Formats: sequence, structure tokens, C-alpha cells
Amino acid sequence: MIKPLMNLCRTLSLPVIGLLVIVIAICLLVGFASIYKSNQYLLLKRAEIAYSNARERLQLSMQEQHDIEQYLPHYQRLLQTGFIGEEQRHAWIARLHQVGMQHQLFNIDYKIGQQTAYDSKLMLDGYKMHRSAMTLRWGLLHEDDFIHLLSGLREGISPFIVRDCEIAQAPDAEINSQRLQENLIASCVIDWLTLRDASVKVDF
Amino acid sequence: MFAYRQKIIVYVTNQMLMTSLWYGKQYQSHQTYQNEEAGHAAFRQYLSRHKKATIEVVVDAVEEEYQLEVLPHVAGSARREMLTRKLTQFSRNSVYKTAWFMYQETTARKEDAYVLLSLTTPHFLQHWMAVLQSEQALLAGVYALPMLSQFMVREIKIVPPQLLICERLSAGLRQTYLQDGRLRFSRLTPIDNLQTSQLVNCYVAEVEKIHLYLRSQRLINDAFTFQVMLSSIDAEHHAVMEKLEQQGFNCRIANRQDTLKKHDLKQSDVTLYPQLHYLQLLNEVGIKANLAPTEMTKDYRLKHLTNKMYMIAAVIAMIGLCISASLFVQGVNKNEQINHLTNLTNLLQKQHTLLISHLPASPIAGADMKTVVTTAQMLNEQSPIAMMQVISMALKDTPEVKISRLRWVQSNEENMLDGESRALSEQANQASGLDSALLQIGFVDAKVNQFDGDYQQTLAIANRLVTNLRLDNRVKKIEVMQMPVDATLVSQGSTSDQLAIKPASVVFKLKIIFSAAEKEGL
Repeated sequence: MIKPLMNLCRTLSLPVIGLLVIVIAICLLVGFASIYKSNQYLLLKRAEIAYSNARERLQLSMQEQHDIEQYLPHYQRLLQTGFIGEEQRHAWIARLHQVGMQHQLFNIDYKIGQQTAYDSKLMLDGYKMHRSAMTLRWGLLHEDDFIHLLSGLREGISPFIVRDCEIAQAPDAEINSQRLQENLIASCVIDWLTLRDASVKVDF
Repeated sequence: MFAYRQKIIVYVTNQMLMTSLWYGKQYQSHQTYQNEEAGHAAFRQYLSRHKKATIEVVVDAVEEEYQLEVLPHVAGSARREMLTRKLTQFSRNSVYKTAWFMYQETTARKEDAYVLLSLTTPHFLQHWMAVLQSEQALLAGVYALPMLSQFMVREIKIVPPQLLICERLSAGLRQTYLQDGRLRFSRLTPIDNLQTSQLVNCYVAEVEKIHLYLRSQRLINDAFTFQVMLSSIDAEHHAVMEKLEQQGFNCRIANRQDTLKKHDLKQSDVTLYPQLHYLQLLNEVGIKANLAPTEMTKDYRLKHLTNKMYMIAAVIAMIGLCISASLFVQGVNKNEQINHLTNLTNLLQKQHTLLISHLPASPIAGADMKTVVTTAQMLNEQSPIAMMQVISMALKDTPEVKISRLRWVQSNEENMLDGESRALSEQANQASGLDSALLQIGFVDAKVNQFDGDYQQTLAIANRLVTNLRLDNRVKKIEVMQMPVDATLVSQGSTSDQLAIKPASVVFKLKIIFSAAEKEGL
């Protein structure tokens, strides 16, 4: 009983060992190949991400170059007019006088309020918007005087928002083109806006 | 490993042994050995030259027994035990016996039909088997020659319901009876040195004998005579056929020439050893039944198992190599893509570095600069002047109307009223933020001059102004806040009364909401 069993074991030992060796070798080979492929896959993904990032960076830089080239002159003009930086209310008042003189307007009453923070969704790194409300009241000979003042203020100084304007007939006024008199009364509220460095604290 | 494909099919009779060597399906050669000492020694030498060849033994002898058994349909160990018990009952003393499955009954019980075969007193076989065992030949099986008959009739496509194959082989005249193409009974009659006329008579006598035997066994009846098939290889087949037909037997000749050509067997070899055709059939078909006891075929089965393991190892190796190669190729391809992408990335980085070095000096980022500039431009676009232009255009067609008051306001409230304070509108504007889409709303107080008491005409003038304003696509909506006729007041009087003093002018009020889309134009 034992001898045939030993013969059987002896006969089958070589193919069994051979089969085992082959299976182990193939498993190792396939495992190694699989790891190699997985590593290459990861490296490829990294290379793709790096390429994508580099392309995005280049596109951003190109956009940056384009924006700077296109908007730098305008930006410098805004710097000069006081839209960016400290508000130049003296310049505004001077401009008001200048426009009044230029178009021979009647007396312009103005009042500029205290500068306050402007709650805007406009997001700029390092900048914050502020407003100074100005109330204007002046007499008009005719409607063109209204246009002359608003248009004149826009030239050469900081931009502003016109909030509210009213033109009404002057009380007891009768229109007579032969007489220089205030036929209409105009009043406006405008916001002079400035962009200031957010790091500079302003006490309101 | 490839020597394993060598096969020696041995044909054994009482007198002699014939070896036929096959390589794959190709017949190579044959040798004959007499059943004596010299023959045994020569056979031993022959085997020693073909150590790795598989051996199959076909026995063609008179010492044989057949019995059809219909047994219950069982499987597994129950089937093995049942067949062992039946075989022991069938042939207690024989070593070479088997139960060969034939068919399954179509009845409800689906019983299995087996043909039990045994070599009853195989003394002539002992010497040859001893040689095989001593040479440790790889004996795959031992078969009775009639077991191959049913494969032969299928090959030559002659399968009548009842057929008697009558053929002369080296051992003698072999008659095998098949029912529906399946083995039922076989008988060998040794023929020694008979003249042709004697031979023909012998054929006829043997067929008549077996006819009587089959009738006695109730395998056939009078009404249904079997067909006798003669081989074209037999030189006497025409004479035998003529004689048998005279006796009333239905005969036909099986043309074996085509089959021989197909299998590349020489006519001369087959004429001399007609059993070669059967040996060739055994080489091609696999018979599951085996007369040899399992101990005798142990070496072959072991070798078969070993070879299967080598085959499995080879297949695993091949599949593994293919998978590994495929994975490596994919990895290498990815490596090429990585190199390509790395080169492109480096190029982009160089371009980026070059661009950065030539970028104009700027106090803030380009995107922020763009936002600042566009915001400033947007602020300058908002003015009541455009509204004045719209109203001025509309008034050209209604010179009777005079504007007494005009208010322009930016608000995010469409329902804002003229009476609402300026402070409220300021608050709303500020809360909504610079970048919200604010509505531009105009309030107009107007009057129709030179009123002559005709309210209908005055209404028509006011409506004309409203219509003209609506024609301008910058106007989104107009609400008439107050019509020239004030319907809110209570009017009381009598037609006999004198008409009240007519006012010099009538006043009406409008609210104009401008389209947000047209904001830039305003």
C-alpha cells in the first residue's frame, strides 16, 4: 500500500512542483507587470495634471498681459483723477466752479457729506470702495443747463453715480426767454466713489 | 511530451499479435508476432523501442460473452456499485470485463441499457499482458473488436434497424449483430486453410447458424429479417452474397475502398490485415468502456495526469506571459505619453517664464485692473440725460403738454412711489450695491395748457403722449399715476347750474420705468 503511494508521489512530484513554480512565477510576473502599469498610470495622471496646470498658467499669464496692455492707460487715468486713492473733493469743488463759469450757470449750492464705506459686491484684492454723497441745487435758465453741469462734471475728474435728480419749475416763474432768470430748479444727489487701499483704516 | 502522441494499437488473437504504430492520426507501420516464446521476446523488444507510446489492445477471440442489461438510472457511486455487482454476476472469474452504456430508455422510468462484455478464458492474452506489464508499457485500455463495429457502420453510413456484419479478419469470420446501430451480439468462427468454395459455404452456414441463434434469443422474428453486410475487402464477397440471397437473406456490400483512401491505409495492408480498419477507428474514436482492470491502466492514467499537469502549466504560463506582456506594453505606451506630456509641459513653462519676464509693470493684477476700469466706465454711463431725451422725443407730437416737474431716480424697487423720500432711495441703492441691476425710474408731472373744458380731447392728448413714450424701446413700462380727469373726487351739482369756471390747465402724472437692458443707452 505504501510503496505504490510512494511511487505515485515520486511520479507526480515533478509535475506538481513544476506547476507550482510556474503558477508562482506567473503570479509574480503578472503582479510586477500590473504594478508597473499602475505606476505608469499614476505618473501619466500626474503628467496630465502638470500639463493642464502649465497650460492654465500660461493662459492666465496671457490674459494678464492682455488685460494690463488694454487697461493700464485707463487705470493710470483713474489714478490721476482720484478714483483710486485719496478722495479729491477740492478738485470736485473746483470742477464745479469751473463748469458753472464755463456755461454761465446760476449759483450752484452744494453740500458734500462725510466719506463712508460703500457696501459693494465689487471684489478687488486690497481695495475697498468709499462714497461721499454730494447734494447739488441750482437754477436753470433752460434744460440744457442741467445737461451742461452733469456732463461737465464727468470730464477730467473721478467717476460718480447719479442717484436722484429732480427738475421742477421755479415757483411763480413765468418763462420769458428775453430775461435771464431761474425758470427751473434742479437738484441732484450724486455719489463720488473712490477706491482705497483696504489696509488704510479710515475713521468715519 | 510529444512522444506521448505515439500510439501502438495491438490486435490480439489466439494465435498471434499484430502491432500498428500511429503518430497522431497517421498510420506508420505494423508488425506481427506469433503467440510463442520468440514472438513474446520480439514484442518485448518492440515495446522497449517505444517506451513512451500509449498502448491500446483490441482482442479478437472466441472467448467472449455479451449480454444486454437494462438497469435503473442511477449515478455516482450507486451506479458504480450496481455495475460492479452486475459484472460479477455476469462473469465472476474473468479479469477483463466491462459494462458499456448503450442508450437510455424513453419510457417513464428512463432506465439505462448496458451491454455487459467479458473475455471468458483469456489464457492466450496472459503472455502478452505480462510482457506489457514487465515493460511498464502505458496501457490505456483493452477492447473487444466488436465494440468498434458500431463506429464502423456509422462511418460508412449504413445503419439499418437490424444489421449483421459478416467479415473475415485475421482471427477468423467475425459476425456482429447490431440493433439500431448498437452492439447486441458478436461471434467469431476461426477459419483455417479453406478453399474458396468451402469458404463460401462456411460463410452461409455461419450466417444461418447465427440467424437461428438470434431467433432463439427472440432478438429477431420471422417477419423481420436482418440485413447482412459483407465487406468489399473480402475476395469472396460476391459469391457469398449470391449464395446468401439464394437462401433468402437480404445482403449488401459495404464499400470500404473510399474509407481506406481517406485514412491513408494501403490496400495491400488492409487486404492482408482487414482488422487495420478497426484499429484505425479505435485511433480516432474514444471508447469509454474498457475491459482492462484499473490496476493495468494505472501507469497510463498517471502519465496522462502528469501530461495534463504539464499542459495546464504550459497554458498558465502562456496566459500569464500574454497578460504580463499586455500590461508591460500598456505601461510602455503610457511611458511614451508621459514623456510627450512632460516635453509639452516644459515647453509651456518656458513660454510662461518668457511671458512673465516681458509682462508690463502693473500696480495691481490685470483682472483687478479690468474690473476697476469697467466699473468706472459703468458709473459714467448712468445719467438722467437719456431719460430727458426720451421724453423730449415724445413731446414733439404733443405740443399742448408742458412738463412742470421731472424726477429721475435709480432704485431696485419697481413699485417705488414719487412721494418716497430721497433718503429712502439712497438707502435702497446703497444696500443693493454698485453691481446690482438697478432700475431707472422717471416721474413726470405734466399739464395740458389752453384747456377749453373738453376733457375728452385732453384725455386724448395725454394718451397720445403715453403712446409715444411706449414706442421707445428703452421704455419698459408706463404707469399713469394721475389722469387729467380726477375720478377720485366726488362730483356734485345740477345741469341747471351755471358751468363752473374752467381751469386754465389740467395736470396729469406719469411713472416711467426704463428697461434694464437698455441701461447702457440711458
